[in-house]
Amino acid sequence: MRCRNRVALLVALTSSLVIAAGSMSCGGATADARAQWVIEVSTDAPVPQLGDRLLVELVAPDGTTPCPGCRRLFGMSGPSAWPLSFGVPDPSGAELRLRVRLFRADHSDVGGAPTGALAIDAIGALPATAGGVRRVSVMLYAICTGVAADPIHSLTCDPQTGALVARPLDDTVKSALVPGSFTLAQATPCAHAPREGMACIEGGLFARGDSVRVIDEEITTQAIPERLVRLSPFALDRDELTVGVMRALVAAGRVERPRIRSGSSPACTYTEQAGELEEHPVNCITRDAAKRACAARGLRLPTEAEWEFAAGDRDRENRYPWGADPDPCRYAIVGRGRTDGEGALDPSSVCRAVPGAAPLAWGPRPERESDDTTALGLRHMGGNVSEWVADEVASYGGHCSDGPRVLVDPRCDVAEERGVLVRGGSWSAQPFFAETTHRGMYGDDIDSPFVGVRCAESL
Amino acid sequence: MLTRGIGVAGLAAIAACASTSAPPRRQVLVVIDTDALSPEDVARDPELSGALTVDSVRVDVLDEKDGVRVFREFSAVSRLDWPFSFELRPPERGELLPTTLRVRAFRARDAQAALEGTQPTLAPMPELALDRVVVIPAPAPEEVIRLRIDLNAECMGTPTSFRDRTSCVDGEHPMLPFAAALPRVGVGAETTSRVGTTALGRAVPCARPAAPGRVCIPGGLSVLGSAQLAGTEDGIVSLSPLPMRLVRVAPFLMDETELTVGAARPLLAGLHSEQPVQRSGAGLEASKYCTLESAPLADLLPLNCVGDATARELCALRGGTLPTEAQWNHAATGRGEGRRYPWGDRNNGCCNVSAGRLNSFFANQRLCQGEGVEPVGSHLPSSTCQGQGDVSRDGVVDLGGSLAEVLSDNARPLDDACWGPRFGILVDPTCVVPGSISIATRGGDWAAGTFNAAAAQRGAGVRSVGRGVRCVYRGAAE
Repeated sequence: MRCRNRVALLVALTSSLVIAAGSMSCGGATADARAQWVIEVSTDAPVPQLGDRLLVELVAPDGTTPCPGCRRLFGMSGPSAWPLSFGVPDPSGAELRLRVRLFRADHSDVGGAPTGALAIDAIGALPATAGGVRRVSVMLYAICTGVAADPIHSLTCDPQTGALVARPLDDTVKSALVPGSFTLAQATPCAHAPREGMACIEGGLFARGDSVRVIDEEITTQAIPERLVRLSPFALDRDELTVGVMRALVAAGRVERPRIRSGSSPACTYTEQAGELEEHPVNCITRDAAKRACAARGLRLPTEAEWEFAAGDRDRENRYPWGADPDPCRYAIVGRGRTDGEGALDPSSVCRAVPGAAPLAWGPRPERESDDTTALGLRHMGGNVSEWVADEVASYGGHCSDGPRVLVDPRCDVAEERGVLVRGGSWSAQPFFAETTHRGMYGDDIDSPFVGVRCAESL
Repeated sequence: MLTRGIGVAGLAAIAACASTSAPPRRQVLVVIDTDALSPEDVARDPELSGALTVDSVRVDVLDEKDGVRVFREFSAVSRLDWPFSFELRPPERGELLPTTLRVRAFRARDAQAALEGTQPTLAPMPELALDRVVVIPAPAPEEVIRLRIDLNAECMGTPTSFRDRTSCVDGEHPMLPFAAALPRVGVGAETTSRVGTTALGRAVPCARPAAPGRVCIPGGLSVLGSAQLAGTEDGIVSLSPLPMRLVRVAPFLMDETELTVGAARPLLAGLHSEQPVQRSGAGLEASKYCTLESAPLADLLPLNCVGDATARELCALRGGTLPTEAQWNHAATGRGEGRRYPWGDRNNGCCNVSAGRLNSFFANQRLCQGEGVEPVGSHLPSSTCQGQGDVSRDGVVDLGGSLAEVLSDNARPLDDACWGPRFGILVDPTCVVPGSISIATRGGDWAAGTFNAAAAQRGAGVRSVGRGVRCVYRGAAE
């Protein structure tokens, strides 16, 4: 969309090549008759979700970029920026390849090159121009996301098989790919309305994990590498399972009673008799008990992927359930930990009350008190209590993430190591546990005062 | 995670792609240019500091109360994207009135996703943006006004003052009124750009060769602080990495390794400060991890259990000083590269860095093999670690792990008055607060997890088994 002087940009530097700016921008095609390729780049990926930067390089057969002008970055704002067309003068005779990569700005280094695993990467040999204008089309397939091209052997991901193959650049006129047309990226509505108290999460595509903030010490629970995940529609409780709902299940004989609040368990919320904590999230239940509580309601535990997709507001992939504001203490019930049970807040707690305001309360809070709310109205995904999920412990690079490039409804049933996963922060957790991509782990299936449950249902 | 791309916001007032050949009519054309670096400049010349790159521009049309009436974002990732121009158009059936424009250029990866009204956008950090506000006059009937706004790299980090109604123009005119006249330009002026021409971003070589055991760290610009690490601090032994500050550091020489027991031994007799704690099985339980002992086997271990004054004196005896936080950060982040770890962006775990070598408090297990302090240079790049090790861009060893290192600064927030001006480029900053006893440290240690090797992680500490000494020396001309 930027206005450029076309003449100036199409002038090649002395004895080198220049990838010129798009002739699409302002004022139609150029009439330059010199030997050149006119290259059109298109994609079926949802943009800018999967990429807002395009790096175009001319590559010599040894894999190097032969000149400074042979490398060009384009900012690709969104669907309207596609397809991209530009001209490349033919240096007469030199054998050249064209490499094109689509990626996200936050996955790039200071020189603008992609650093993450999520790029779409294509390379191919440029056909001879024979002194004229040769049209070339480069197609970036979303299904090939994360499959790096091989610049030495000029191999690119085959969208049919995912294998690296020599894929000639198309020089026949084909219709360009349409951004967002990738089948697995289409939103799938819920088949019917969710039951009361639950939100419908439409099916869709997102990048699971976070390669920008790698801050977890446990190798297994690091949220890397990022992978594309496709989820079917499902429903998720708007609130963490409350003491009141749990009490009804216990009264009906459907589940056993959780650990009772007492002098030695002051942060547990379930009381002998119904009292003031009925709207608090129930905690001090094992994952096993949480599973039974969900099953008693005809529901199940959400998978990690479902949890993350819902917390980040689906393909928006928000860093926090409430959006982008990096101040968890302001929104979520986190950073208020203390373990001696006296009720007052430990001065070393990470979150502090705003000067002049009431002191921060210790322990979980009622579900309805929430600034930690997603756009779909899910409350306390960031904090209050962490939540058990259905998956067994496995790294994102491990056996449960093998297989096709886009993981479809992943759930890991075979543990890689001992431990039990939770998602979301808790009242005692460090504030960064509120990040939607953060993965937490307990050594055993314990009834912790920091963990509760939120149930899900396939729709 | 998704950082929103630069997109076109619904906007009537700014139309891109102004025609240069349209018949004369009442028209305002604005050309925007900069001398700051594009990512392409840095990719071509690694001696240019990535800290001075801009790749995104946000243009706001302000209302009478300085609120954002409409805005538009431009992506300018290539040299060829500069300069760019747009036309100001009146609202439908309205008149072109004098218009207040705010123009900010910044790097997308340092900006924060935000909402402007209901429109998603990127909000640049004021400490890392070029920020200019101008008043565009209304054209007379039939008049075509062509104006140029230059965003000068010298203004990086100097935000607009809405109270004084001034913004930074260049180094000679740090703050001029919004209404100051803009240069008018002729047809075709939007074709030449100054992008990449600033001298501020260029590395400054050392004026003297580095003696053996010392490494030259070229001077230049780097960023102190890190958005990537925000929110991971505990406020006690780790400090907030925000706000990010742009810093200019003169070239200096740095010890290749932490001060070893062998190198310190001949200096100990000359110390006026307290002696380092000796290794022993008795007394402090921790002192079994102190490295100073008479056995020559200890000579290759880094010296720990050193007090602040002792550390300072040891460097003085070596002809140097303790590093400032800005110097240490400059070396560890790869100068303007903004590396996540001293060796790069990827953490290969236990092989990569001396860390995770203490039994955890909760479980009787360690993150990594082996226990206690290792000899310096135990984690040089190796094939068993995919070619990685704890070696910095310039060849400094063990900045990431082994021992945290004492600095000459107090441990203070990055917006503390001790650093000097709240905004703008800090030049060789030091932060010394009289009476403050909290001393800054940098770097992870053998006991903590490998992620504490993050280059931008800010620490505070006292004499301990996890803290040692590395000295720096003058590198600039006298």
